Amino acid sequence: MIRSLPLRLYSGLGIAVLLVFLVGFITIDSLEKQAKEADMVRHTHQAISYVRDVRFSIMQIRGGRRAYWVTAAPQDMDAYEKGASYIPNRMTQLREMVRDNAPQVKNVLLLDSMVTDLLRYWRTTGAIQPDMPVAIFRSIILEEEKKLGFITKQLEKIKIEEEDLLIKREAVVVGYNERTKLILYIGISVLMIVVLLLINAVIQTLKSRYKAGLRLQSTLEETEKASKLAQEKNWVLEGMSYINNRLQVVDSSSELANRIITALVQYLEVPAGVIYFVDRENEKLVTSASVAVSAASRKTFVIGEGIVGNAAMAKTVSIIRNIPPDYWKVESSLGQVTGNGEIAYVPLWMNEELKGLIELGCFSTFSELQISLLKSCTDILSAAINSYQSRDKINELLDELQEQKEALLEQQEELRQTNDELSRQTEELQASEEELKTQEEELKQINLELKERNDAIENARHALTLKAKELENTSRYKSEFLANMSHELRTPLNSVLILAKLLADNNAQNLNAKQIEYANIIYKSGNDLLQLINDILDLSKIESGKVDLLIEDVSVESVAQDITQLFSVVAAEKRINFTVEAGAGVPSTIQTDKQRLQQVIKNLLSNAFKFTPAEGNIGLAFRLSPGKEKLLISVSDTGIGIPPEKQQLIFEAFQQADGSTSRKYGGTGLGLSISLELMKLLGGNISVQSEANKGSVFTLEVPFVFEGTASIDNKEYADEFLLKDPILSAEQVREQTVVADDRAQLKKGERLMLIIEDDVNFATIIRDYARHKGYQVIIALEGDEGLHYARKYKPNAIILDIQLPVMDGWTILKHIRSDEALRHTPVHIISAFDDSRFKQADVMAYLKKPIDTDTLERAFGMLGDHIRKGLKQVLIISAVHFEEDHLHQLATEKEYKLHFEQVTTIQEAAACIDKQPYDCVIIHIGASIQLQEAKHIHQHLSDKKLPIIIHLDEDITATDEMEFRKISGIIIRSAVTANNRLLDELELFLHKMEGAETKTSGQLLTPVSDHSLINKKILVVDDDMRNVFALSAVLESNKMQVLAAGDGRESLEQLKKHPDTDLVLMDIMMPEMDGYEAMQRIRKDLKMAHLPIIALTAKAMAGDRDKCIAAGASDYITKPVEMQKLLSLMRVWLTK
Amino acid sequence: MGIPGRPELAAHEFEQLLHMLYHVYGYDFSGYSKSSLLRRIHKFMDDKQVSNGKQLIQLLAGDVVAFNGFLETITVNVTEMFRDPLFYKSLREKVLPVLATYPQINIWHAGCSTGEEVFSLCILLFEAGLLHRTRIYATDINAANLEKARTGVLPMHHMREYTVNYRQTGAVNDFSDYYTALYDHVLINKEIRERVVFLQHNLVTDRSFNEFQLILCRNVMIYFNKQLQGKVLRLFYESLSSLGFLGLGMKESLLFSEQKSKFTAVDPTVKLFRKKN
Repeated sequence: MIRSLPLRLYSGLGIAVLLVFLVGFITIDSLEKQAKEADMVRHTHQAISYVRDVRFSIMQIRGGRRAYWVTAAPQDMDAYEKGASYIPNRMTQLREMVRDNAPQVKNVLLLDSMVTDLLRYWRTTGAIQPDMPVAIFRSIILEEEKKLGFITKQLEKIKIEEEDLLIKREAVVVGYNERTKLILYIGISVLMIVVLLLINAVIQTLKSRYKAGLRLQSTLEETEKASKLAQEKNWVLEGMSYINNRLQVVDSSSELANRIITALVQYLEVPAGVIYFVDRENEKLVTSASVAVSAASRKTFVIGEGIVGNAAMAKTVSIIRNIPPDYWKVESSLGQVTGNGEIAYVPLWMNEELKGLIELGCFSTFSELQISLLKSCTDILSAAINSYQSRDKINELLDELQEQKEALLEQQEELRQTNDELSRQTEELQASEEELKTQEEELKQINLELKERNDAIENARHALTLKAKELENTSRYKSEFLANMSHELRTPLNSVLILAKLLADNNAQNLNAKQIEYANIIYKSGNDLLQLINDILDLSKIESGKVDLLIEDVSVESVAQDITQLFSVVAAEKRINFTVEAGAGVPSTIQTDKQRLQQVIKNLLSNAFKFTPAEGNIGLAFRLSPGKEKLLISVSDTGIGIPPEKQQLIFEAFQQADGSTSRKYGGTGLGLSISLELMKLLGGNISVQSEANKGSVFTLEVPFVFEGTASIDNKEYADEFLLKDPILSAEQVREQTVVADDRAQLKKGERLMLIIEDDVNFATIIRDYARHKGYQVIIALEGDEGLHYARKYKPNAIILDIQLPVMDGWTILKHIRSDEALRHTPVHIISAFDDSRFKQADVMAYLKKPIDTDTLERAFGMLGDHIRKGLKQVLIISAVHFEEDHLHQLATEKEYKLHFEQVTTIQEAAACIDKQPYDCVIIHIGASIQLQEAKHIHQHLSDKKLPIIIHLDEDITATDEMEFRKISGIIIRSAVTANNRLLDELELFLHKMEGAETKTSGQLLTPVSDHSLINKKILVVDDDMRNVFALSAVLESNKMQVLAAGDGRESLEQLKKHPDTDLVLMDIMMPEMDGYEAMQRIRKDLKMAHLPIIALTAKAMAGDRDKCIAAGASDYITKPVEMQKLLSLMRVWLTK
Repeated sequence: MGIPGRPELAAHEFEQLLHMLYHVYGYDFSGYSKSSLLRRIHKFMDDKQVSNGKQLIQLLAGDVVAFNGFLETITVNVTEMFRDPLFYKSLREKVLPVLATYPQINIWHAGCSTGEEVFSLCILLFEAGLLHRTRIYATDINAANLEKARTGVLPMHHMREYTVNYRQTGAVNDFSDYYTALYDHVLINKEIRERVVFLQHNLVTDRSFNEFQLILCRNVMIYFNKQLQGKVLRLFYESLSSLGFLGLGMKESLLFSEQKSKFTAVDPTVKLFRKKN
């Protein structure tokens, strides 16, 4: 349902128009159809008329023919002539006419053929001749009539057909008419209905519009009322806002009062007004401001009293009306006004608290509006007063606060400073606490470790005890050895003594006094020697347990007697008071070895006699020990005595209280040692009490009963030991004095030769020869002596005989080869024996005696070469004097085996190097020898693998250093300690060389035959020279070209110079410009985006790899670089 | 054993923390002396109000800034100029004359903290006339320290102490010749600093990066356990040229180290050693 009117109207009208169009269209259509049908009717009529025309024409021709026969007038044949052309024509038209009607067409066609046939008949056989007989004429006519009859029938048939059609068509026309009429009626009536509906709708709408108009009228009136109200309200509001505005920015309470009252008076347009504020202390209302009120009328009112006081209590606006004129007056300069009027009181309350009161006077009446404004603005005013009062208070407080704040700030500042100080102190405290704690822990740790150490020491001690035992054994072996040897020594000595004695006796009387004296000295010395040998023999026998004890019951008295007998003579000779006494309870016999006991007593007594001056006392006493289980035999004297610190020492072999003692008193110093050992053997002991210069008391403790066992014979063992133990001491070896040699005036640093040869003559010959060759010589005539010298002097070469006294050449050789210090000493054997062992022995050469000077020359040549190997040969190349002597001296001090030679030019140096092998070359870089020369020498030496040390006088640049380092790993710049370091480095270096000789092979990487690496240009960027050289060596051995740069900046310069570089190996931690930056620059500044860069870094942190890659590295490898890995990595990046 | 109310790290949390630090940041603290490390971790937890180990691990794992703070707390940064003046005296008298015989001198100062001791060394080298041919690689684990050290700025308030220290090293010049005062800080002169490269290096994980004639590593190893100390000493040994010098802190020692036999004592009272070969 359409609600809106316009839409309804439009749709109604639309329908009406549509209907008009519809009806019109249908009508026109009907009319057109009628016209068409009418046409068809006319068409049918036409056809009928054509049929009639044809019939008429035929009939005319029939009549003419007959007439012609009769008349023979040619005009009678006109009809025929006319008809003959006219009929076919009509027939054609007829055919055209009925074309739309199929049965009719058939009829017409049939007619057509009939007519044609008739016409042909007339023309041919049926032609009429005027003179033709009647019969013929008749037959012709009959034939004619027959044909005509058919034609007439046919014509009739067509005519009837057409007329049927006509009737049908007329009926159709009538039908159309009817329908058109019907449609018109319906159309018009529908149209009428629509129009009516439209009219109705419009009328309805108009009616409602009218009603709305009425309603609008009344609303308008209401609105007007409301607007008036609003205006009033607005006035009130404006008033409030006006008052409010006036209250802004007030400085004092009087101004506030003033503003309030003037604002009210102005806005309300009243003549006068007063405002009172409450004086809280006095509970009064005090006039604060007024308008148009004389100063005299300014008053104070008590709250709650009088009109004003009560009005104040009212809490709402009160109006007093009908004020008589004499109640008040309003003043101005021009005069006074009085009159009837009204007074309004406005009390101002805020939160149940009276703040003030406003009094307003008016000559007319207060309108409702004014009152409402007054009511409305009480709140604002009281709030304003209140807030003003509060603000006053706040300001006061604020001032106070400000002061306090400042005080606080000051305090704060102080606090901050204190705090700073405190925190700094805390920090320091923490640090020191941390350190203390760490130290404490460290200490704990150390403690713990010390404990461990202690354990270790305990273990070591244990090991030491074992060692000590071993040592004891060893010592025993040594003694055995001595025992054996002393025997051997005694044998030749005997003959010496005999012969010396013979000489001294001078039986032949052919010696002069001097010679006899010499012989005596020989004899005496020989005797001393024999004594010494005997003592040594004794001691060693005892120490090695080789003494056979003869234990028997010994009469103490007999011992005493024997001793007395022996020493009484000596005592008398030396005028010494010698007494022997025996204490009470001394057993008559004890079980012991009498001879040994007597030996000890004798020894002690002879010592006593030796050290006691004439008129001294010496006593021998036999007593019982306090425990009465031992016999004490004491020997006391009043001799030189022994200082306490030496008392223990005297029992040790070769010790006397004073080193000079032996020189004064003679003796070997072995007596007491032997005595002590013997006493120990007998189960006793010796003790001494002595005071220097007063005398000594030696006391023997001898057990009554011997409880030991006789020792076993260790001879076999000792023989074995003789081969094994090489330890010989100076005292045990007799140093020969027969052939003079250079031992007394040895010069350090000069070549020394040891000749071990028992043939004195031959030894002398070799000595002279050796001296001639520039050696210092030491000669040993016996085997042990030779070995002793070898150890003592560490000669540079040894000439050794095989057949030697005491120790044969083979044994010596064995000892020499097993001694760490002597192992490398060249040994040349010269012997009369032909021995197959020479071939296996580790000797340099072997010569068979007798030899001639030529072979000796050869032998020395060989030794010389060998020695030069032992002494490291150092060649110094320096244009200036190089303090060789100082170096030499230092080397000697440091005991380095070095030999220096100096040349001044490179040519000289080259010649020297070719002629003779050197161990090291020192190049002094100075005025005439520069880097180029050094390089030259380096090249010259390259196939000899001779190490070079560079010595510099002044600073060099980093690039120069790099060049020098290619030549040498050791560069020394001259400084005070330069020579010192030179030698240290030299020694260390040469030492290392020796160690390294065995393992140098296999260290270099075998070059890989890989074409991806050959001839590639590689830039190595590293500040670590070791690394640069190590890498360069390997890369060059793999046939790559190597460029080097010491830091990032240099690497950029190198790349600029060599843009065809194939790959960069880049260190990260470098000075000047680090690897990260260098890589970034290569990528960015040099635009080498595709140059492979492999970063080498010592860093192994998680992010380092990413950092390298981010900086532009293609790949990454950690230091120390594994060469094989690096090479395969390079292959990856160099393969295109 | 913990103090009530103090954060406490359980043993397994401690392990987890070390594990995390290694895997996330690459810092390996497993060789640090545990008790010292624990004290410092607890201090950090106190400062940051972290109450348990789990929180700590979470905090550090996810926050690089927090980790840097942690690193700051955990590494010891107490240093001074000419710390232990006798050490520097010995350096001046026994080591510098030997260094003088090298055309180019490489020195590694490991654990340089904020650079005070590096500058001290530089001053000695300068006075010996060697600084111009010396390159000093000063490294520390802590990037913040290096940043500070690179500025060459030191707080003023310790300068008096430093001056006393300096005099005890057998001073030749006035200490004040080497710096310029700026309000409450001093700036070490550029000519003193210019031969120093400050680089980040982790003694625990990183390797040798050059060959040196002198390595100083003072008061760093006291915070390491025995194994780590051994490892670091091996690193130093490898990084020293033959006959090179090693200087340690006064409380440190080679005594219990397996490296002991490879060094001779130059001056045992101040912990100066020399590589034997």
